[in-house]
Amino acid sequence: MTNKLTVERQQSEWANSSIATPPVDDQEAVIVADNLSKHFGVTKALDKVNCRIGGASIFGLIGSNGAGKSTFLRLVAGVYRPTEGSMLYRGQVVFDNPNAKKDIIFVADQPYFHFDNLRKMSALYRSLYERWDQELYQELIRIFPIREDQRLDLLSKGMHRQAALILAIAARPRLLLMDEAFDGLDPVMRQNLKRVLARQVVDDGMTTLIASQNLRELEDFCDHVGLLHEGGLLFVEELDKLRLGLVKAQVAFREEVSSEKLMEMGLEILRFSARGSLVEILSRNTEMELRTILNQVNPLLLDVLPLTLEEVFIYELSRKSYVVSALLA
Amino acid sequence: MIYPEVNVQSGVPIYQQLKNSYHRLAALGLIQPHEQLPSVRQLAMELGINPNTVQKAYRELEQEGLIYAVPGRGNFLSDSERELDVEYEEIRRSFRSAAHIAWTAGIDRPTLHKLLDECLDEPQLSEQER
Repeated sequence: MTNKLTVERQQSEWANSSIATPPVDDQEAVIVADNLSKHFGVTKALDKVNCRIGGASIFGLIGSNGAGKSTFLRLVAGVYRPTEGSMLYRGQVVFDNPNAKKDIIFVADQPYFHFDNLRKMSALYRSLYERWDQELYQELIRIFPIREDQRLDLLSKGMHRQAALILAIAARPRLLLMDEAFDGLDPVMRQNLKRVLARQVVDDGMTTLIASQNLRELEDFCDHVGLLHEGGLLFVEELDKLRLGLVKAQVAFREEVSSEKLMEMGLEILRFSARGSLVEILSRNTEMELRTILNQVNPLLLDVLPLTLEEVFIYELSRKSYVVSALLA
Repeated sequence: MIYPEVNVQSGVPIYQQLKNSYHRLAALGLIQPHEQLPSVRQLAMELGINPNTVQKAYRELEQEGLIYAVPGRGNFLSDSERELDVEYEEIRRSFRSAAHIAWTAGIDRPTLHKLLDECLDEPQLSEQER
């Protein structure tokens, strides 16, 4: 089962409100995008994006098809030149800059190989990337089992991707960009990939940027997430913070209590829905605050429920005047 | 070395689960005072989770006093007394809230005592209760 988040635009002035809060300042940021736009003719693939991504972070870029994820990754990788604004990697422009590019590897959603097997490809990478680690490469071809002489063009989609990941990781990039990296990998390989990436982050300080249209793929592995929609970055936030300020509870009151009264008592209620005697409250409080306040009115029942990241996103988006529907496909 | 448990599907932030799990392991005596915890690297690799998440959990556990860090050597479990304080507070809170519900529902003391005894007879939570 996959979970996708679809968003529809309700108001037209959204682009102005799309400036995301920077999670890191410029000094510690590895990636700094300022007012970054990429237009293809009249199509605005990316429009006025501002974003800072910190070092050694695992950053998840979420958005549906056509949201601009791949365009953003290609701008970071220096494949594209920005139409407007700037994209800096450690303070340097990436486009046309071999010095910046040697640190960055981009694993595309449909990897392309110049040669037809891993032996030749690894030789190419070894000659291109000075940080190439042959021992790591040997380890990776055992973890993601592919024979070096296997014809790459005959591999399945998942294996194809694994081959690309082996090469990318063994080259020890300081910045690894992955487009839909986890898609097409079976659960075992997915777990293996997470372990390998975790080790590179610790040992090598590698920064990772993963794009996906599937929130579930990223929510257990990223520390920061950014949401792209129609070329605009709607927000960037530390994953845990997104959940922390929000709490959801199911309450049954002894006698009817209005949401106004609860708000007077200090609850910042975002959603108050009653189903019979059972009330579901979504509020911008900590769990402790919520419990303390609700206990004052003697509830018959008080259950604090876990929030899904999807609910958090829907809430964040609804604040920005989007109509959101969660599709369970 | 004992690793904490993490359920990536539970909806509870992973660093929170790590923290809870260490509190539990310490309370149950499965980790002894001054015993070394797995490194950030070991734990992140073992569980396939983000090292920054592990780092964050360790940092907060240190602030809470459950663990202490020795630069260059790693993280260790503190003396158990502090740990009991944290657990004790948590239990007290649960009891207070249960007592409150009982009081408002007019359940008397002997019934509550009996209820607690029953709970103590079966301390394991079922899947559903978790």
